[in-house]
Amino acid sequence: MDIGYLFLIGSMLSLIASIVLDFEFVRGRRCWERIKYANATFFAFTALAFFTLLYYFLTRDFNVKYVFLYSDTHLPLVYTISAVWAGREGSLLLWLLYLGIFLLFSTKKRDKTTAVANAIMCVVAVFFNFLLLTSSNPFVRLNFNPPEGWGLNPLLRTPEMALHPPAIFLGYAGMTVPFAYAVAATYYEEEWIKRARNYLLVAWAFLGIGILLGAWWAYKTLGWGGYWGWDPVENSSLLPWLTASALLHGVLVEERKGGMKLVNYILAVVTFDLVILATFITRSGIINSVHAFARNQEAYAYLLLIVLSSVAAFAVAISKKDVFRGKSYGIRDRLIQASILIFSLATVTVLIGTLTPLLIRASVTRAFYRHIEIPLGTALVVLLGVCVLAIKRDFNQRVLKSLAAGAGAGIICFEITRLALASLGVGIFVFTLMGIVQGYSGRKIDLRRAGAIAAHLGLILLFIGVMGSWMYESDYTHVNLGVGQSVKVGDYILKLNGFNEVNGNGKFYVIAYVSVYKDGKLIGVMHPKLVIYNLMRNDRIVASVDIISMPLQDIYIAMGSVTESGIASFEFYVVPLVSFVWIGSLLIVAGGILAALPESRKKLDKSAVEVKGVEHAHRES
Amino acid sequence: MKKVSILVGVVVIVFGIALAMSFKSELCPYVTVSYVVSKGSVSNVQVNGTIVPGTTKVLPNNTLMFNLSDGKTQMRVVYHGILSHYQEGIPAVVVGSYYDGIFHAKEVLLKCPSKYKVMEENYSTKKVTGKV
Repeated sequence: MDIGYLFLIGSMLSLIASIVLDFEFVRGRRCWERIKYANATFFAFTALAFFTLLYYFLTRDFNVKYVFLYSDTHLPLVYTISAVWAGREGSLLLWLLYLGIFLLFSTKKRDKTTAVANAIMCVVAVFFNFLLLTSSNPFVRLNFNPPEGWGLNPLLRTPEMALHPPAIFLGYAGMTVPFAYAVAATYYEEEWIKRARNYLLVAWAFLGIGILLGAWWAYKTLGWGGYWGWDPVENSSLLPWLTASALLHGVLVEERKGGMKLVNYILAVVTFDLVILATFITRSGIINSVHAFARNQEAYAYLLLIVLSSVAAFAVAISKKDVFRGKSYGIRDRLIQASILIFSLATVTVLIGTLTPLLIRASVTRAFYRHIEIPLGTALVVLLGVCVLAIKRDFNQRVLKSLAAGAGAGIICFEITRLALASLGVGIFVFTLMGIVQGYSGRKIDLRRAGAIAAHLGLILLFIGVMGSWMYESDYTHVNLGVGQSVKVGDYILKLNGFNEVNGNGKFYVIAYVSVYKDGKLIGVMHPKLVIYNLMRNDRIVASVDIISMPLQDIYIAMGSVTESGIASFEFYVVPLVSFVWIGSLLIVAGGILAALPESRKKLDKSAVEVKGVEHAHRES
Repeated sequence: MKKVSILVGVVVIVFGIALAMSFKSELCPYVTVSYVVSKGSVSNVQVNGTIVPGTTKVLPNNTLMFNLSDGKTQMRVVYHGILSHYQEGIPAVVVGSYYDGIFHAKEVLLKCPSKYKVMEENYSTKKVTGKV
């Protein structure tokens, strides 16, 4: 038996010990310190298993099947490390390791709620540990010693793809904590938001970072000029992000007025379920092959975890109905509820589209998502522009001001571009921007509020960027050029100057030199490449895209193929406003991190006390 | 409260109708060559099959014609555009509509042949449609 496998058994035993001790503690035994020890042992064993696998990768022990499948002798050090989470087994091990880290931190408060939450998290960990011990064992050895590995998929050899899984899985594992606290605290009729809020923010931010890295990778690597293809893997990571975004807004209402408790509870549970679904979809390839479901033995395990967690959460909710009593008042709370409704409708749309291939013999096209998500996104942005004004006096006047600014900007844009939809988009952008400016000016800005401002500015930039890049992208997918030839595509002239062939470490490059002219002026020379890796894999040839980024548009070129006679076929794209997508997404993520920073937490506690004081004063008067 | 519930109800119903309509129009079922040919006319489907050797015709203006077979039936496919590493005898998925006895493909996904004769023939890339 492999030593790594023994470590996994050790972590399983620690988990069981921790769960037993949690229940002993609930019954009144004084065993808090031992729970902490059990958690620490679990973390230590999992970390040992993780580092054992890493060690096998670093020493190129191809006798280990997982190492054989995901690395080769030419693989650089950085990608040898990232290969640990390139496949299903290693990803699940990372999930488990993250749960171990969260378990180390979550035992700060010594009470029954924490003990039960601890037990819930341990049960989730048992699930992944069980998979690692059975169907997803990363330590399986081959009965021979291959001299060379199969190799990491060349497409994954980018910094973005090295970092994407650790970010995404940190987000996934983190969503377990709000779920565990929501169920445990509701069981003891306590509130869970304060305990879980920071975990929620951190998990949400990392999920966002992961999604952004994935989109950026797709844009730079896949060569189709887009960053979001609505494929099942992308969708599955977006789903929990959408519900967690809804939850972050619901939390606002609950913190202030005590309303929306049931909705928040449901959102916490659903987010967790979607995280499990996402892990399953991402790491099983189930949607791509229609018949895989019956053959994939893990499918039923994941389904079981989703059903069990939902049923348990439902049972707790039914038995503690009274906990969810509470009211929300005022126009602002109503508007926040509307935003939650929009997030939920977006989630339902993506979920239906993603699961369609599993349920019937068909799939939906990208247009399905765009038809629904673009109007929903637009509604969300308009709503934001109104919502940020709802706390201020002179609500109507301010909305009119925003409207005037938006209409003005839209008309100016139309005069210049003559594009109706683009002008409408710019108008909405300015309307909401004015709303944010008016809504936050003159107010005290702590870190938490700064986070909200950043995230909301990010949202409207993302909106305008998505609109530009989806609706006004020009694509020229069949550009054929021989050396010395030039062709006119749209406003641009492309000229193929020649090729170069370069031998690198374990790979071979064919580089094309393409000059791009606009209005007779040279804009730049682009170098799309084909990279041929020295591997036994079928997919060892990848196209390397070249992009010239300008503030308002990207020029994007990918080389499809080169024939012996030296004719290359290129795909050429002009993508407007795509930089807004990246800046907007970064701001959204930064907003989450800002709001989770320690200083804003202290302020929050203080302001909560103040609010309570004010409420007391109101009641007394 | 009642007003709000009605409003939410209306929004959800309108959304549901829009969703159903978009779903219906953008649904792209997986079907066989035999099904397509027996139907005579279908739109927006995905068909799995093998490119029949000796049936390829390259027309000017980047137009490609070939027969796709599911082992029982064959159909004529027309596609405008370049396909890197196009080869006869390999499996392919075509996405598009069938009418007037011809399948008009919007998209052709070629599956990688098991032996990749890259260096002798040409440098080409695999079009990636899903992540690994």
